[in-house]
Amino acid sequence: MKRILVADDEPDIIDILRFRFKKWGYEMIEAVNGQEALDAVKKLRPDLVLLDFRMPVFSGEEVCQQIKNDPELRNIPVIIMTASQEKIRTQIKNAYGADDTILKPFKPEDLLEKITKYLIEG
Amino acid sequence: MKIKSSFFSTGVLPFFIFILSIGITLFGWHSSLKNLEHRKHVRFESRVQDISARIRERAGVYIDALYGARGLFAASNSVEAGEWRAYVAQLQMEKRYPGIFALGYIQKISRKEKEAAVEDIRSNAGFREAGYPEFKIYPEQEKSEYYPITFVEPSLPGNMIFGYDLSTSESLSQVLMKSAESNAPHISGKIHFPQPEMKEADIFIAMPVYKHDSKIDTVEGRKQALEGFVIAIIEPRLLFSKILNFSRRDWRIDFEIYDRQVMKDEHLLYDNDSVLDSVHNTNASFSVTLPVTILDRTFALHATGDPDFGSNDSVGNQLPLYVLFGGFVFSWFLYFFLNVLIFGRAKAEKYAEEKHQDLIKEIAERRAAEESLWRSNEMRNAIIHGANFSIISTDVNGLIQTFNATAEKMLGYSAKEMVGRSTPEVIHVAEEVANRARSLSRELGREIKPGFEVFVAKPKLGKPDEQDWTYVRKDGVRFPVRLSVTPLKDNRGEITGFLGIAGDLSETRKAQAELLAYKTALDHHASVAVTDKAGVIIYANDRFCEVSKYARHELIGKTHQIVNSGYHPVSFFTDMWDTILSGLVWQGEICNRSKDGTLYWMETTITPIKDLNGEITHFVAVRTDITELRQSRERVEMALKGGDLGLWDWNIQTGDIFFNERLTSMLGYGLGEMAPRIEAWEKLVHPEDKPRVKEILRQHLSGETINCETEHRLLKKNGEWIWVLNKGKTLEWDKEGKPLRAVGTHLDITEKKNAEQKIQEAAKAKSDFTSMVSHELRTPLMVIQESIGIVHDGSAGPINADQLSFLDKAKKNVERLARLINNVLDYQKLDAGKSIFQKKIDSLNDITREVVNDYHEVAIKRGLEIDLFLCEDMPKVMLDRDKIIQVLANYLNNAIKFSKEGKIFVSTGHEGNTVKVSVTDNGPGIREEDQDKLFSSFSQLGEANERKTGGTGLGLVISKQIIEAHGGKVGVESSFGKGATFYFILPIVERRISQEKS
Repeated sequence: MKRILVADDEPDIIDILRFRFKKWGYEMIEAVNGQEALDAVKKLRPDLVLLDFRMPVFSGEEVCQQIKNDPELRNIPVIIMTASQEKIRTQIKNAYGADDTILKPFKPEDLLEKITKYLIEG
Repeated sequence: MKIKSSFFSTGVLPFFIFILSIGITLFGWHSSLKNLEHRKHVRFESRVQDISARIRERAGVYIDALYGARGLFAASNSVEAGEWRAYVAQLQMEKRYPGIFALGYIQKISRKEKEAAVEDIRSNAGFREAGYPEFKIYPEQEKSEYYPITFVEPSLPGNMIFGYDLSTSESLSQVLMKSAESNAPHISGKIHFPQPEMKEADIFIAMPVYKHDSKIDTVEGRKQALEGFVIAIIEPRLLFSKILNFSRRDWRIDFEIYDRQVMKDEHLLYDNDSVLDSVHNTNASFSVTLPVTILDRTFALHATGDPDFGSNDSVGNQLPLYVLFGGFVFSWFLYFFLNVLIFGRAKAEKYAEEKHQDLIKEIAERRAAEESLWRSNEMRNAIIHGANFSIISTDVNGLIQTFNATAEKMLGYSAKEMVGRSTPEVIHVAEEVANRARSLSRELGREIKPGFEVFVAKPKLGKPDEQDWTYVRKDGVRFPVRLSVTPLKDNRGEITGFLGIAGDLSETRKAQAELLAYKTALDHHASVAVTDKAGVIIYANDRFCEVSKYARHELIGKTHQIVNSGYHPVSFFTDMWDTILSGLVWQGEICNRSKDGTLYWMETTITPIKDLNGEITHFVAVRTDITELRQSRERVEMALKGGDLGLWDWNIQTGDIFFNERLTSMLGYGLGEMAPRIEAWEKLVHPEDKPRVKEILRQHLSGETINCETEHRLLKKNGEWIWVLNKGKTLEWDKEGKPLRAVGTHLDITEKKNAEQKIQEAAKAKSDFTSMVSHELRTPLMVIQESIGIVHDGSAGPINADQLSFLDKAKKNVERLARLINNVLDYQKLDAGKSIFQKKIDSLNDITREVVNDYHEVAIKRGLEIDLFLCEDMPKVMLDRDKIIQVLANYLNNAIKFSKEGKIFVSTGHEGNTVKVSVTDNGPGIREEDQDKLFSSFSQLGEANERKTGGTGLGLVISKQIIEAHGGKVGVESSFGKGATFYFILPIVERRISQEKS
């Protein structure tokens, strides 16, 4: 079973995503801030990382940057959730090395499509 | 020999004959001796006479020098010490006039004038260069007139001779009076001047000087007109030693000169003791006393010759001896012929003596004449060439005798050409001469013919003749001169010719013309008034009359009180009077009242005029009317004040800048506290604004902009910043087109700027708030949406029909809320210009097809059909694909929402430089009056409809913003109840390129 790390400081979002991933057949690792997320990535080596843009301690892009700067971790696909426009999303991808972004609020189907794409390709 | 021997041979009285022969021989010897004596005597006398002639001749030279000196006074109104000195210096007296110790001037001073004259001489630098503070008239005597010496050149140490009143001695006084009355030089007797350098007795020759233009044809007139005398002080020792030195080596004569014909010691002027020991040497063989008359005085010349006088005349002196010894040897022979011989010899000697005397006389005369000629030439050259006047002398008939260097220069003729020609011939204008002839004829009561007589008619009568004439130069150029003609007289007072002295008046005339031009210009421009010391108007020019509206006679004799307007306080005028009475120039603006009561403003300059003593005698007031200037100045001031504008006036090339009071006060400075320099102002410009202000200024000064306008901050004196609207304009340029002067204003816009800033801040706060709220809404909205979704799709367990129905409602409204939030965010971004457009050349046909495809399914679900008509040669245009999709989707969404059934038409096309996409529905249509509102923000048409269709009311507004950001246009065509066509038009920016690519 593929493992997905989800980091978001909003517990309701975590709850909803946990419900969806269970249905879709993925194991979800949870983190409520950037530090937890980074520790979990290093320790548990998930198959995919889904980061909220704004988080306490480390923000999503900082976590992303650290992952992408670490030769052992850089192959893990990272998707960043943000309410920002596409323009900003492009910048996030270029500047921090994120593999993809998804605009909040998103439809569950759209998320599933992106996850499936990276997990199958990876 | 034969005859003689026959006598002897007769033997008659040889002894007697011998004795007789001896006697005859002795007699012959004696008479020969006597004859020799006589000859010597004659020669002696002739020589003494020669000396006397020399003395007279020299006196004549001195008199000529005095005439020259008097000419100086005639040519100039007042002779000053410097001129006198220059004149005397150029005479080179020592060389040319040996014997003249000094040339002086005696001034006639009446008792009344005595104090003032003495003071003047003591203090007046102009008259006497450094002045002569010790000057006094002495010996002191109470007299009606004083005749002190006031000039002496060369000056003597201590100048003790100054102030010496010559009229205190009766004899000297007589000499002066005779001279003054006769208008002729007179010579004095022996006088001792009170000057240590003048140990010896002197004499002087005095020449009267009269006032200009005075009538001196009568004795009384001459007495009245007498101004003083020029005197030549002569030291006899110098004079005679020079004359006698001439042939002293072979002349052994003792001379004594007495100032009378009485040979008393007290009258002895000169004695050349050096030759003989005793003055009255009675042993001397020869002695002669000759009267020497110089002018009106007869001197006695007493000469004594020594016994050896003439001893070196060898033939004459040896003759008696020959007679004596020859007589003894050839007694017979002598006897026979002696009487004949003596007689013949006496006759021959007499003849020879006569001839000899004639010859001596002739030689002496010729020598004297030559000497005289040489001396007078020297003198003439000195005067003539030293003068800056044209000097032309003529004989009595008008034939030119001399033509001086200045005349040559002035008239262009050489002296060679002119001497011998008659005047006025070529150098005068005939017409002028004729005119003068007419007026002279009237004046003198007899006909004066045009010609030389015109010039000399008056001088012949002893009247001065000074006239302005026009001289004609050789090249034809005419110029004005002032010519004065004086008769030249010989010692007997006979007129021998005339002297014409002319000064070039061109410069004077030019100066006069200039003065007139100034006066005209001044009169034209300014009001001029002259008042006496008390302020009484004695002159008013036309302009003054014009401005004050008073007639001249109404102003003259009044004070300026007549134009007093009462505007100024009394202190204003007391200040003015204090200034001008202290001798200073006063300047100011005075408000006057004219005769008709109107007020006018005059910029006034009052200058005190002083006399020679520094006493104020008059005031001259020059005024210009500045009434209009003041009015316009006031208007400008009022305009500036009303507009609250600070004014600056900048001289770009010097950097000087004028700030008005409002401008400095705007910056918290007092008037004059800010340095009037552009650098000082530049320092006050906010550092952040400086580059921008400089650039704007540069653009303006280089001519890129006509006006210069910018808003920037300036530092106040108290350290605060103010915002100013700075407007300026260049008004003057130099020849090369460089800006010279710019004028502009500052308006304090700090409040406006602050308000603007607040508005901007508020707008930003609003925008930030909207953005923040919208973002913050998204997370809870997503949670709600997802939670409902999970329950609604049964993932969280089965639900019944009622539950599903309510969850449907919840889901629909949450989606609507999400759309609303997205639209608000979009709108706000577009409105704030934060939206970024990424435009590329793209195909509208492709985009339209894509969007229609997306909505195809939705339309079918609602029972609608979408018909798509794509233009085949649709040009590509620059567009942001995502944004245009948003617009088109909005149009289609609306069309589907508002259409109940039937078809929706979507078409593309192009016209001119534009492309167009239209979406036509068959919905209810839109009322014409509502069509304009459709695209304005937050309009909600048919709220019921809106709610039913779930729109946000922002779609069309956002569409409009997007299309307008592409430079395009949105619009709607509709008639109520018959559907509507929404369209947008985009410009084809580069059609040619677009077509190639399509």
